[in-house]
Amino acid sequence: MEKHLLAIPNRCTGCNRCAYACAAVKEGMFMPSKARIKINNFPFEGYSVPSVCFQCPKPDCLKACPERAILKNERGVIVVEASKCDGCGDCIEACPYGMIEQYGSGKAYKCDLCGGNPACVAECEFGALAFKEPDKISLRLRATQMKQRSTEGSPGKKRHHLALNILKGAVRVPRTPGYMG
Amino acid sequence: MRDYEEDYASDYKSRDVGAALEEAQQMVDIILTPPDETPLEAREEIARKTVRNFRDHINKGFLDYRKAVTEATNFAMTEWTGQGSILVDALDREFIDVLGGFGIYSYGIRHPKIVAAVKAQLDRSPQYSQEMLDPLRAQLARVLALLTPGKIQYGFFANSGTEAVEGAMKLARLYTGRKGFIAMIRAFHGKTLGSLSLMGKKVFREALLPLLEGVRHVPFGDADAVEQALAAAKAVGDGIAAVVAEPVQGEAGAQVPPDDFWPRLREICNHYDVLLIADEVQTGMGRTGEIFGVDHWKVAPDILCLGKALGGGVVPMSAFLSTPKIWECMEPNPFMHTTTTGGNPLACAAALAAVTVLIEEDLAGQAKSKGEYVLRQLRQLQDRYPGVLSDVRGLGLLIGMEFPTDGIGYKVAAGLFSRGVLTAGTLTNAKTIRIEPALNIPPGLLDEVLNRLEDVLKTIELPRRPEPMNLYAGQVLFVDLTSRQVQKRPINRGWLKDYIGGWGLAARYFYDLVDPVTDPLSLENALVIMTGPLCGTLAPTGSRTCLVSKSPHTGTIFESNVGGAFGPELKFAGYDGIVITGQADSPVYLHIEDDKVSLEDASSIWGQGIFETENWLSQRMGHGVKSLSIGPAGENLVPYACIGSEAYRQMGRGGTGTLFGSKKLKAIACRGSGGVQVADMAVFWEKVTQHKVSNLLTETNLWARSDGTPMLVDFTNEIGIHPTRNYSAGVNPNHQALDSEAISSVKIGDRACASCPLGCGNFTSVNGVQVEGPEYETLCLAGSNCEMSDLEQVMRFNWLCDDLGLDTMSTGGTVGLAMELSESGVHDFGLRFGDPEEYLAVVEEIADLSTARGQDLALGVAKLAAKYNAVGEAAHGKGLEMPAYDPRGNYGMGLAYATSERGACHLRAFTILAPDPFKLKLMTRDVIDDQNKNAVKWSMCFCDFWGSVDTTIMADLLTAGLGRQVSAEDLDKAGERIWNLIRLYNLRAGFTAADDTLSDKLTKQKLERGPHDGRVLSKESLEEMKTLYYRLRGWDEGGRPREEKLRDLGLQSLR
Repeated sequence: MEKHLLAIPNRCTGCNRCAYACAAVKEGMFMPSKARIKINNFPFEGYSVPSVCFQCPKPDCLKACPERAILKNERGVIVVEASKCDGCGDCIEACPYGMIEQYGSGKAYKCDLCGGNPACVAECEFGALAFKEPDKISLRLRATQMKQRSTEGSPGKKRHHLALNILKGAVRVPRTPGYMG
Repeated sequence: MRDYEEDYASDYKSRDVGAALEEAQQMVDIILTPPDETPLEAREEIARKTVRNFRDHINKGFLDYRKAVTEATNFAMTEWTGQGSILVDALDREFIDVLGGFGIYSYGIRHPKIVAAVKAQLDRSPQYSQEMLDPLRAQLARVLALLTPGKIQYGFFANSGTEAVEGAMKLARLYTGRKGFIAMIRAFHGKTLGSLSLMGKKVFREALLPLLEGVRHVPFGDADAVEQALAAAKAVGDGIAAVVAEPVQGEAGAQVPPDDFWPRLREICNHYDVLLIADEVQTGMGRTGEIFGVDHWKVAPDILCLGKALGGGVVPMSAFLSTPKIWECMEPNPFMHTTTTGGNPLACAAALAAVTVLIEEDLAGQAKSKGEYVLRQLRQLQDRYPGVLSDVRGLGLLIGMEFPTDGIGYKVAAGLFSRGVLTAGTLTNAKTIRIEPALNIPPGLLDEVLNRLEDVLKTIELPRRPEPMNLYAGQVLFVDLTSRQVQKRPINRGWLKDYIGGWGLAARYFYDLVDPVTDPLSLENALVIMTGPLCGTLAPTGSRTCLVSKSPHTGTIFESNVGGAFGPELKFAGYDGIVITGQADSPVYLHIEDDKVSLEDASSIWGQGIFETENWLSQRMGHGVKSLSIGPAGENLVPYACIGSEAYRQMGRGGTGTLFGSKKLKAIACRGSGGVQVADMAVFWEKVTQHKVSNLLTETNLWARSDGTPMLVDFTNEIGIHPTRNYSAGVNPNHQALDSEAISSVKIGDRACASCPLGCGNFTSVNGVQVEGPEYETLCLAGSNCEMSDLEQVMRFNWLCDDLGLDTMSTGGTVGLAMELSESGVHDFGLRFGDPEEYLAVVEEIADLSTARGQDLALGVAKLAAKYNAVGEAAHGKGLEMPAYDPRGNYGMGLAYATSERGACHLRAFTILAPDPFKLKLMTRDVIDDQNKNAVKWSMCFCDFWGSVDTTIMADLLTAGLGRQVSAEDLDKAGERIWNLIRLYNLRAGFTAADDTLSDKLTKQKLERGPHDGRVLSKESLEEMKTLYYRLRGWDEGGRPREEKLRDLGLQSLR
């Protein structure tokens, strides 16, 4: 099975290095607002939730695109074919996780897993991001996160809504070493 | 701009009746001569004299503002003749008039039918006898009754618009017996004292207050606000006579209200039984595309005011009109409101003829179709020149163009003027420019105006954002709270090499801004907030944010910095830093969203803690907004109040929060969507990774990740410098209750500042109290130093300080002293070492100054000890409470505290790892090296916890990011330069070598317990180190940098 990108919120320190790295790769500058990975920090609660694209098995963005500019590639990664995108924004509205966005009113962009070597994971020092073959635990974690769907508002609003639900359900115990820490 | 002084010297001396006759006769002769028969020389003479006469007898202020003068090349444009939509000046220069005299020329200049009627009436009777009944006025009133909406049937005639409004106000008060009015913000109704009360612009009102009482202003177009104001007035018993508004706000720049505004006003006024006054002075007589503005929404006001175009563009004329029912109140005594000249026969003749033109030529219909056409064309221009023309709006031929700034608007107005198009817009008031041509202006002329406008728009050079820079954003925000003005200025590039960023650059800006003898809490003090060049990049730990100002606690220049993510966000918004000057007159917060920067009201959050403030800001600006804010301690000017960010991070020391409080600045909140650019991303990233792996993530620094600062609890106890029981002992026997292991048992997560791979923050939770921390300084000063060995209580203390906005170090130090004074019987503050209840209670009392002891403790240790004659018990340097490393067990720390610019501080030099901390020479050298290095580090905005970073690594990262060579030597020198710069400031502020010292407690009282039991840092030892320190620094015995040192550092001009 293909590797998937997994976010493990309990481990996230909120440093945003993943977003800085993503923008550096994709935009050539440190511009986290255009990163394909986003972090919701809750400083008062001492918690952070990374939002990643799940590369959904049945992607709403792909279905919504009237130009067929969104494709599933041979590795199961959902990618935007920029030359076909006309910036209508339908995919952005369709994604329930807020993980596809567009440049102003221009082309859409999203995470493409850096062709199999995601820069965000390499910069994460606390193991809050993993790129790995799925196992029982990781699939369960992913499924819990994917259940938090939101169809209202901007991508940022959707991600925040999702993150809030994860924060509410977070099990906060004294830190112990282990898989999901 | 030309110099009008050169036109004519002033020759006015005094009263001279002969000259009066002669000069009056000359002008009469000119008037009697047909305009084209006056020779050119005579007209030039008139142009020159007019400037002189304006200067000497009207108001020379106008000459600085009017384009007719400022944009003229040789002769000021001087009124001469006009016809239709063309004006010709005294020197035969032609202008297309789209200013329309602000709405008087609705029928064009000198409409033949109106002029004929007025001339004929002039030959019949120009004024009234004041006794006989005048037929014209009576007929005009009937004609207007036939023309106006609703039950309006009676009218009163006056000369100017403001008189119409004054009359309407009197009528409303007389009829209702109530005195109040609801008026609109940015409204314009005239400038006489009554109508001025309704005015919605501070600039015209403020200097003349108080005006009529009982006037409330609400936002135009907001019917809910009107209703709320009426409900509020009713609730408190204020009688409101009427709601007054312009159908479309003219002066405010052709602001069109929402479609339901006027219908709802009608409804609301009926409901609350108040009158509705429509000020149609500018919008009436067809201007907006209907005969009256209110016709758009089919609303009938109770009182309607007319002016401007009512006189046909020929004679001044105004009126207010109302219904029979309301008018009844004027009938018992018709002389309640009269005027001698209002509604004179000439004016009435003009108005009657004007009404015929209005209807015969369907001027309203013309205004409607031409207005729609012009708006369409302007919107296309807006699309083509979005940076120049930011908005267009209007109704009919009352159109407003909005520009990004007054400066750009004025350039457009001036450009049009030089191309023969006359519009509004003056030097200081051109952000919106109105277009109000004659309603019958030929379509060809309108097109010509639009063509010339596009010509002008093409030539406008926008104030360019500074060229994109590597690492730096390139701009600094200048915010003046007194005038509430915000300016974006290019960063001073000349200073970057010498002062880098952060502390150094902020200090350099500050040095020029604030006189060293300034009272820190006065409006003359400034705050400079500055990020570093690596802020917002992957360079680890390099994203802290510095603040430099003059401290209200110590009176010195000082620096304080914070981690978190505010700095990067500011940079992403496009600013390296913020300079704040002045003082606001009511609570505000600075709202930054990329290019949009404004000062917003913060009254509703004043008094709240930092946690609630951050929550409030999130609700207004969205989750993820980054901020610096203060709590009650800052508002109440507690001298050691701090600024909080992301709940548990602070610019802690020296009274940063006090300064925000003194300026009534509750917060700075920022969202940025831009980025930071580097010379070559691949090269830069590689350097970052290299130094991260080989230097940062090594044993020297990884304690920060595994333990964080609590690691220091065990270590400082081991070496015997852990302040315990008001700095009396160097070891806390119960320190295990507060050490790293104790923290670990309540830790539930790791936290990090932006872009930091260390993640030193321990998020802890126990029995319902959650906090990021406590950090070592808090554990020691609020723990051991108060003999509080219950971690949960220290966490509560920490949490309270974070929310209230108090520095935990100064607060812990002061509470410890108060405990000692209480127990030793000097003065009982009700505080005891180890007693948690009062220990927690007093924190709130300090922040809100609610009790006598709270007020006492808010003095800080030095002043508190002085007040109770116990100076021997206070541990401080220059009045700043001492950090958690006792200098009696480490002399280097003593010298570091004594020579720090902001008083006792561990972040200038840190010598606790020295193998022999009592070797004076060695310690002195270490302190100097550390101070210089840290000056660079805080200017680069690196974190203290990248302990092993040196100027070689910093230079390497800068070189890769900037794309130009920076050497370690450059940085070393910058560090020394910055240290000397702040020294110069403190010397100019009156500090001397005598202030480079420590309080007696440390130099006379023996340390207890542990390896250094019985030691002091004697004055002699301290002086010995100081003497060497000054010499090695190139300073004289008085601690003043010598001339050659300043020259070497390039500071000679700042002496």
